[in-house]
Amino acid sequence: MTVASSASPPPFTATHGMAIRFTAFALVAAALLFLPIFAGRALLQNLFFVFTMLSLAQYWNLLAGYAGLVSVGQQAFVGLGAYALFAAALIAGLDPLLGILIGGVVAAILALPTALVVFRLRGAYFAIGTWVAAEVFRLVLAQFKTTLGGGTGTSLGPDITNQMFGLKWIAATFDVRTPAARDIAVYWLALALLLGTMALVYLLLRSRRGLALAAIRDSEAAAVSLGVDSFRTRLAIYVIAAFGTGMVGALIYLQKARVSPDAAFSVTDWTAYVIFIVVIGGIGTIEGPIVGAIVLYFLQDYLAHFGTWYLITLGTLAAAVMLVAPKGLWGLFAQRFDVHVFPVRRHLTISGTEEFESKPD
Amino acid sequence: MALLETHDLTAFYGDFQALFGISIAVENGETVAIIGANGAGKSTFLKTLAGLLPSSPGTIRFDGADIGGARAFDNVARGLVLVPEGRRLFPSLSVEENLLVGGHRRSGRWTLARIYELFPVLAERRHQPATTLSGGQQQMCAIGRALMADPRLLLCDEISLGLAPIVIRDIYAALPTIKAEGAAVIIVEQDIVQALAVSDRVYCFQEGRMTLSGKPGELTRDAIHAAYFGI
Amino acid sequence: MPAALLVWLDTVIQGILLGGLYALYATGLSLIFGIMRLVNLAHGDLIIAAAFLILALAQFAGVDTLLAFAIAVPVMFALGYLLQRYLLNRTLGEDILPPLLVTFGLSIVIQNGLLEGFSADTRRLPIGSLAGISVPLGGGIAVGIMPLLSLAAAIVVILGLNQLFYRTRLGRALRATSDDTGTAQLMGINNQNIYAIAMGLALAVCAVAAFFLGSRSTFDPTTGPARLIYAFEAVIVGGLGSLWGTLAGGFVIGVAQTVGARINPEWQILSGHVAFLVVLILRPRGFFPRAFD
Repeated sequence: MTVASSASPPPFTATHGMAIRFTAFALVAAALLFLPIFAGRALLQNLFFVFTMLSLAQYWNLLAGYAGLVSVGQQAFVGLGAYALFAAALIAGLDPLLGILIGGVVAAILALPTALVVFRLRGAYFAIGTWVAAEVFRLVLAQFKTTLGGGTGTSLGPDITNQMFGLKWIAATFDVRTPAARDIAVYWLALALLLGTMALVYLLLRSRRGLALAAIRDSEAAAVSLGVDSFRTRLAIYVIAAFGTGMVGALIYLQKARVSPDAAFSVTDWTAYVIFIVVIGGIGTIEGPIVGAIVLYFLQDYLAHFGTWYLITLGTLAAAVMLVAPKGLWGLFAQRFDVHVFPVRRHLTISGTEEFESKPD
Repeated sequence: MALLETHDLTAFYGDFQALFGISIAVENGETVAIIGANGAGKSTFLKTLAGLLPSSPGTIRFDGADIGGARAFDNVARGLVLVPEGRRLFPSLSVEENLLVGGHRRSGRWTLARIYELFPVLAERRHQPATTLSGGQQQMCAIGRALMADPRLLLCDEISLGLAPIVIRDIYAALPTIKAEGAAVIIVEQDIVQALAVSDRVYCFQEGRMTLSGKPGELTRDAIHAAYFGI
Repeated sequence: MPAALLVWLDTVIQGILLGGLYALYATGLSLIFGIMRLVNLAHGDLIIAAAFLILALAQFAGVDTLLAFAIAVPVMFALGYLLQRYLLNRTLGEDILPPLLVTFGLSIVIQNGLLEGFSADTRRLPIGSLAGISVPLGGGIAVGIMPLLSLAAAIVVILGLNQLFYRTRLGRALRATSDDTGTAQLMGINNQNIYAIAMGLALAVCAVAAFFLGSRSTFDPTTGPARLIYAFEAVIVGGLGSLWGTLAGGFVIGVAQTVGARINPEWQILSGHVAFLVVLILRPRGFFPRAFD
């Protein structure tokens, strides 16, 4: 699927300061890339959590914030990706690294029939429909008893995880034992997935299709009359989000090395937190989820030992943000200082009379 | 004191300003016609009066009270009732239920029996779903529904739109009976002849501004033409 | 009658009785969607909250369970009224995100609040000797009194709501608001108040559902979302037209679950979902859709 071809020229006005932004962005990326040289395992593990949650959040934001597809069933693709990786490694004996890609592909393939069913439901009912779909996948996977452990799940032994491509090189280069090398490997994979996700979402939103997305979100009726094929655009976004979510899910469970249907298809872990990240940070922007992930991380540090209070706080905060400042913390900040790190705002002029803005503000 | 007064009334759809500084007055028992081309702001004016569109405090006085910014359902309680453009009958309610729901908040001189006397065809179809009526009958039902709230000022938005001339005549034939109950009426009409024939006073709107006001007999054809088309 | 046939007959009867309970879950959801197009993702958790309310009254305040149930119904009505009036009304508008995300947040808050207050222990409402009574239907088939009463309650609730909608001034206002909120305001109907009453009614029905849920099976703070899903499936299968359709939808899901469970006990929930998906593919508008939309 060619959605965000870099060959297509930016169709509308160029934004300023792009060179400065990309330099800064590249510096941050480079710093994170070389971080394992200095950082201990605890920091890498924490950042792994932040990067994977942020990637999930970017895909959910793409769905809900841009394509108007409010899903509460993205745990379906986390679970499918995870199980695809386990199946690839345990049954087919493939390298877990390849299993991550397979996780994305399996999620994307199964997203197609899922979409054909849940797209029959409009708006809010679509949300619960996606949840039912996730439950169906969970219950079906619990039936694979001999191969995947049924309801109790299964694990990847060290014989598999330690044979992952590149692990020996990391262990030798950093002079660490295999468990520490695995932490570095999955950290890099999470970083790569995150950067890939951000680049994908950014290019997607700057493409013609991104403009179509904004048009659909703002008014489906108007978008259809402008010739935007809303079903195909939504379907494409849904499948892309499933692909990315599936890869992230596979990586998360490669790191955990143990999977069960209840955990991998958990609505709280893989959708509630993700929604809270996006809503608190600011829905409909690329920057918002980054802010949200940082807030989640620090709240977790302070509130983790209160258990349920952590979720109560997040739920209340997200609801309050939605009511008081629907554009989230980043929205408040950007409005106050007029800052945009990833500008996807553009103006499209049709027949020189009507102006459509492709950016939520 | 006038029943209704607007003072420098403006209205917006988002950023788009639809009305600019409208100041008019309607006396008790008076029938006022508002004419103007499509998009002149006539319907917007009625919706703003009714409270369906926001207005600022101090811009609308009804019966001595400031109702600028008041909510539509509270305006009904004061006797300010709108017959909306396109009838807007409730499709899952029968004809009679549509009439009854009109008297939900306020009622008085108009009862079911009197509405059926005014529009006998509604009595025959009282148990049918309202949307199975013909266009003219639906308009009668919409007017009857508004009357059930015993209006002191009845706002009629394009009540002849899309109807055959003979049907329009039947509907306008009810106007004297409505006025006899003491209600003041504002009608918004594209049909200038019809508007002039029934009204005590005429206002003409053009592109959100009032361009002409006067008594029907005193206005010349040329003056109306100029106010209507802006030439 | 051959024994095998009796087994299946029994399975279907049990499914219909279960469907009555699901219809109780679904009625409130159907009601508020019909009147204000709101999909309440906390619906299941509110049912569980009502069950804990009855439990708290019965166990800690020492009230008889039936009396506790009778108290819970008006309390839940009041809670629903206040929730809608002061929180959810603020989320309604063109955009579907605010109501969805606020009710989703509410769902998480209720679940974790209940976990904090009542722990994750599995509970059951104490209904004494009622629990053990069963009614023989002949041919060796017997049904429990509580399942039978829950179906009866579903029918009574739907009859009562229909009387309210079609015979009263309030019902007329509710239906008018459901048809066209803007025009309803032109009739002097305060839509905000109507919405609050609708949510009050929905949560009062949740209390009824909670009583039968808690007296025929166990519950814990995390069982809400599954109730939401069964309710949702019943609403969609029935079609967004009438509460009787919702009851029929409940039967479909209930029977699918008991039939699935008869084949393989692990397939109970899955069979319900599959039935829902099949109906969604074949009849996307359900069995009794609205005539207009």
